[in-house]
Order: sequence, then C-alpha cells, then structure tokens
Amino acid sequence: MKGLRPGRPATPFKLRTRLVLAFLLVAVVSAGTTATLTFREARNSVLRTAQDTAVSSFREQVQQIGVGLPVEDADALSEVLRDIARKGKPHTWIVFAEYGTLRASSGTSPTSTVITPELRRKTVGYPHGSFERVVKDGVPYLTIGMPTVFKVGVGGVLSTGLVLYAVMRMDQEQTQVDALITAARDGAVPGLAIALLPALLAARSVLRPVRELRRAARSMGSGRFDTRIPVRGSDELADLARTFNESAGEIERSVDELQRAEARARRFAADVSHELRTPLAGMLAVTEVLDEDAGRLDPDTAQAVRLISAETGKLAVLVDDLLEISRFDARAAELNTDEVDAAETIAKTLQNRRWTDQVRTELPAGIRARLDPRRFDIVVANLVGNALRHGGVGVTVRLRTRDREDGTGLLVMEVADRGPGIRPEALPHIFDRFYKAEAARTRSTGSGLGLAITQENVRLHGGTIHAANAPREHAGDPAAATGAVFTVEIPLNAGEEPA
Amino acid sequence: MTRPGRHTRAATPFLPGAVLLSALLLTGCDIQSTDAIDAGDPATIQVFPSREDRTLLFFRSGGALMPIARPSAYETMPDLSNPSNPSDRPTTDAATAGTKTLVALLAGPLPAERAVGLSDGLPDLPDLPDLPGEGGRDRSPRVELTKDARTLATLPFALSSLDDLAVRQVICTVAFARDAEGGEPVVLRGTDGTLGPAGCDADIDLGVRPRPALRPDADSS
Repeated sequence: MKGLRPGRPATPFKLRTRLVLAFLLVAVVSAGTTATLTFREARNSVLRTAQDTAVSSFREQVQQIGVGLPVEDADALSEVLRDIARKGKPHTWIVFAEYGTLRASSGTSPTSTVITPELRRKTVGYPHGSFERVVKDGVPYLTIGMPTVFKVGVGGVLSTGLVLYAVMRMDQEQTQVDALITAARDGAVPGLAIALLPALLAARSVLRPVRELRRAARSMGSGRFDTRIPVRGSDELADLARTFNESAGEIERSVDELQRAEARARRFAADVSHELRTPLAGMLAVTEVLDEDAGRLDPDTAQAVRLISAETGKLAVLVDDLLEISRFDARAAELNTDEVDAAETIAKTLQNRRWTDQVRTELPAGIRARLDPRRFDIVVANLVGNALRHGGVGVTVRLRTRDREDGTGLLVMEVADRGPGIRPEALPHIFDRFYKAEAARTRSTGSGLGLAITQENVRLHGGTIHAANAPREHAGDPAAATGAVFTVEIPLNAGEEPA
Repeated sequence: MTRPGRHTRAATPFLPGAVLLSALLLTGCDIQSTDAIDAGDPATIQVFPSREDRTLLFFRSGGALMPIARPSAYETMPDLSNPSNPSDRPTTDAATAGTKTLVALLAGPLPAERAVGLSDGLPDLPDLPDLPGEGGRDRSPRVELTKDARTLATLPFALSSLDDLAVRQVICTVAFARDAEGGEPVVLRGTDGTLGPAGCDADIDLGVRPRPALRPDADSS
C-alpha cells in the first residue's frame, strides 16, 4: 500500500488536466472555426465589393469615351486615360491602353509590370471583361482588363481592337482584412478563457466522487469494511458508488462470517482442551498411584498399567500444548517482559530440566535482554528437548549477540545437535503443527506442537527462528559433520516494542 | 519515469488539432492572388465618324481583326451619284460602293495606320487598276450583285494564297459595305475558284476564329 503512494499525487492532476485540455480543445476548435469562417466570409465580401465596384465603374468610365479608328494619337489617348483614372472607384486607378502596337497609360510608364500575360491573353482573346488579383512585392493589386466594342447596325457590336486595363492598389482592403483578423482574434481568445470555467467545474464534479471512492477503497483495504460512499445523483459515477457500496456490503458479510466461523472453531478447540483437562487431571492422579503399585501386579498387567500411565501423560502434554496454541490463535497470549541475564535464564532452564549434564553450553555472561522469562524458558526447553530427543548426544547451546542492519541489537541463541539432521524436503514444514519430520517419529514423545509453540513465542518477542543443517566446518571432529541447528534471534529490547 | 511519458502521450492528441487550427488561421489572412476571372460584358464605346458617315475596312494586327472607320465622304466624293443614305442606295450604287471599299482594302493601310501596327495580310497588287466601270475587265477587283441577290466579290488573285484571317478581312469589308450590320453572306471569286457564301459574324469580333464553311470551288469561270 505504501508502494502506491509516489504515483498518487499525479492522478487527480492528470484527469483534471485532460478534462481541461479537452474542453479547451473543443473551445479552440469551435471558436477558431467560427472565427475563421466568419473572417473568410467577411474578407471575401470586402474583396468582392471592391472588385465589383471597380469593374463596373471602370466599364462605366470607359463607355464614356469615343475614339476614331484607327487610334493613332497616343498623347490624346493618354489624356483620355488620365480622365478615367481620376474617376477611379473605390480608389484611383492607373489606366493602360493597348491598340495594335500603340501603348498609352495615365501614368508615367506606358506599360504595366503588374498586368499578367494571363489577363492580357484572356482579355484580348475573349469578348468579356476580366479581372485578376495580383500580389506583387507584398502589395495586392486588382487588375481589370476591358476590351471595347462599338455598335454596328441594330444590336450588333464589333470589337474596336482597343483594350483598356486598370490597375488598382488594394492597400485599403488589406487594412480592412487586418482589422477583421484582429476582431476575430479578440473574439476567440476571451471565449477560450471563459471555456476554462466549465472545464474546471466539470473536472471537479468528476474528481470529487473519484476522490471519495479512493478514500473509501483505502479505508476498506485497512480493514474497515463498514466504509460506504454517499451516492449523489444518477450518473455513471453514482452507479459506481452504488456498486462499490453493494460490494463492500458483500465483503463485510463474508468477512464477518469467516471471522465468526474461525472464532467458533478456535473456541471449540479451546473448550475441548479445557474440558479434557479436568478428567485428565483425575486420570493422572490415578495413574500415578497405579504406577507406584505396578511392581506388585503380575507382569502383563503391570506393562499395561505403565502404558496407560505414559499415554495419559502424553495426552496431558498435548492438551496443554493445544490450550497454549489456542491462546496464540485467539491473540490472547501476552508478553510479560523483564530485564534478565540471558545466560542465567538458559542455565536455569537446563538445571530445572536436569539437562545440565547432557548439554554443552557456550553462554557468555553479561548479555542483558528484555524477555518474558516464562516464554523464553519454553523456547529453550522445547528446542533443547527436541535436540535431545532426535539428535541424541552432543547437544550444544550457544549464546551471542549481533547487530541487525538497522542497528538493533539481537540476541542470538543456537541449539545444535550431532544427530542425522533434518531432511531438506522437511525443512520448510518443520514449524507446522503436527508435522512429523520422519515417519518413524510418529510414536515419539512430542505432541507435534512443540516447534509451532516455540515459533509463536519467538514471534511474540518480535524475533525469528529458523532451522538448518549444520555446516561441515562446525564442531572440530568429522564424526559430528551433520546435525540440525535451530537459530533464534530476538531483539535485545523486545519488550519495548509493542508486540 | 512514467509521468513524463504519460504527459507526452496525453498531449499528442491535441497537437494535430492545434497545428491544423493554426494552419487554418495563418493561411489566407492576407489577400491572395487569383486567376483571371470573367467580369461581364466589354465596354461599348463611341467610334467616330458615326455610322452613316464611315466606311469600315478590316485590317489585322497581331492576328486579330481590326476594323478601321474611314469617312465615307472621302471615299464617295469622286463618285458622281453620291447617295445621302447607304441603306436606300440603288443596287448599282451599293455594288459601286462595295467595289470602292474593296479596292481601298486591297490598297492596304495608310501610313498612319501602319504606324500603329496595322497590316492587310493580302497579296500586294503590282498595278492596282483604277476604279472599274460597268463590265470592266475580268481580273479587276469588283463587287456585284448576282441575280439571286447574292453579293459576289471578285479578287484578282488566287484564293488559296489567302489565310483564314485574310478571307475574313475581305468578307467583312464587303459585307459591311453592303449594309450596316454586315450580316449578308458574301461569295468570293478568285483566279482559282469561288468561296462561300459566308457571313462576317459581326458579333464575333475577333479574327482568331477560322472562317466557317468555306471551301475552294474550282469549277466556276
């Protein structure tokens, strides 16, 4: 759960950013498209108006003139052209004329550099007026070509061969178009700014349920199954919240049921153990008496009596161990720590069990640790008893300290024997309840719970226990090459850490 | 590590849109140039001298038919029977006027007309005969009306030596001498046969069009 944290702060931003960007994109596209289309329409209208005005007024002006054919006098023609140019609409024109090889204009040069061959070809070869917009050196020009005709007879017309051209700068139209661009931009940009507001609101309305959902999911993860989300509205997010609530309810019911079942099972085991103890106590008292009197019975009966006595003892141990385990399962086990000398504690345990003679010890004095003496006694007794039972002679108990990576001091106790060791495939299960490392041990004196109880006690101290086979260099003589080693590591200040 | 990557991925869908939009905004802000676009009828202007007082001759310039308006008075002055109105001239007079106009066409442009780039595009005649009288020599250029009221122009050279524009020059000149609208069909007779009849098509102003339906016909005398 903690591993997820680094990615978390980016999440709301990402969704919000995406929503805002999407809104802005829509706004940009719509505002931009509208502005562009409007602008284009307006620009075309400006240009069309200017062009239409220019073409029709040019035709009108040209129709005022009269010429003799052939047109011979370039000066007189220029005078006529200047007259037309002055009346140019919407702006003044420069007017050019072509007749045969004659060239005349209202300006200084008799020919124009702006009029394209295309327009000239079209105007000369075709009985219609034409215009062409030309951009030369960044300046837009409107060029108009106007062939002239004269009337012959009724309705007939004949080309005179005289062609007039008008060239008009479109600076003013360019200015108007620029103004249109500015207007379009000024209209579109505030639109984008306004679009930010609904974007943020929408992002908020989406993000709030998502945030609530996240909080609820985390709360569920930490074990509070009664977490519910307020359902608002009837949209997809509300559906999601409703589904979450339903699922949470299901999980809560299932977990409750499981917990109840487990509790029932544990209570049953505890109850059974407890109920067995009372009759067992009576039986134990009886078998003691029978044991004492066994000598006076005939041999067969004596053997049966002793068997009953031994099995009853085992049963009592088993029931005690079961009770102990059920206390661990019910989390009823408590740690009553005291600062003790570890070496002294271990020595006392061995002495109480009368194992001092059979066990070699390496117990450096002066290692102080906070331990629960009773539970540590159980750990030592179980491990040493186990070693004595399965490993035979040469059981060694070593005590030392070492520092963990984070600097905590550890109390390390090793119980080694010189027996056949533990089969590798049995190693992972050695601490399981009722697990027998060897089929031959089924009839051994252990309850099958000893190592499990040991492990629970070590864990209660915040420590670890593991089993291994002894390395070869351990212990001087080659005969003792194998053997099991149980290593217990318990923090020196175990009692100060809340278990 | 993942965050920058996701950012770029989230940003990519917006890039094409932005590029498209800016491209849309940037293009066509300025005034663009266009093709040459039709813009209505040509301008109808006055031509001097006015319709009644002029004779139209058709010369050429740069491959185009160029009408020339000469004062009729100048042409008709030597003629004794001068009609005041061409439309009610007698047929003989119309033919005479046509003959004179044809002779003027064959004589070529005047120096002032040549100065502005006009030419006739017709064969030069070594000795242009004087105005022929009634029943003149066969080879002299003349215009006459046939019995079925067709206009016949006789030319002193082979028609096959003329290009399309030259044929139209002659037809139009003769047709407009016959009447004001030049609508009457004209038959040409050269030394090598006849052409026509064909009209001038006054409304079709420019001589770049090939003549319609004219074939040399070598059987006439």
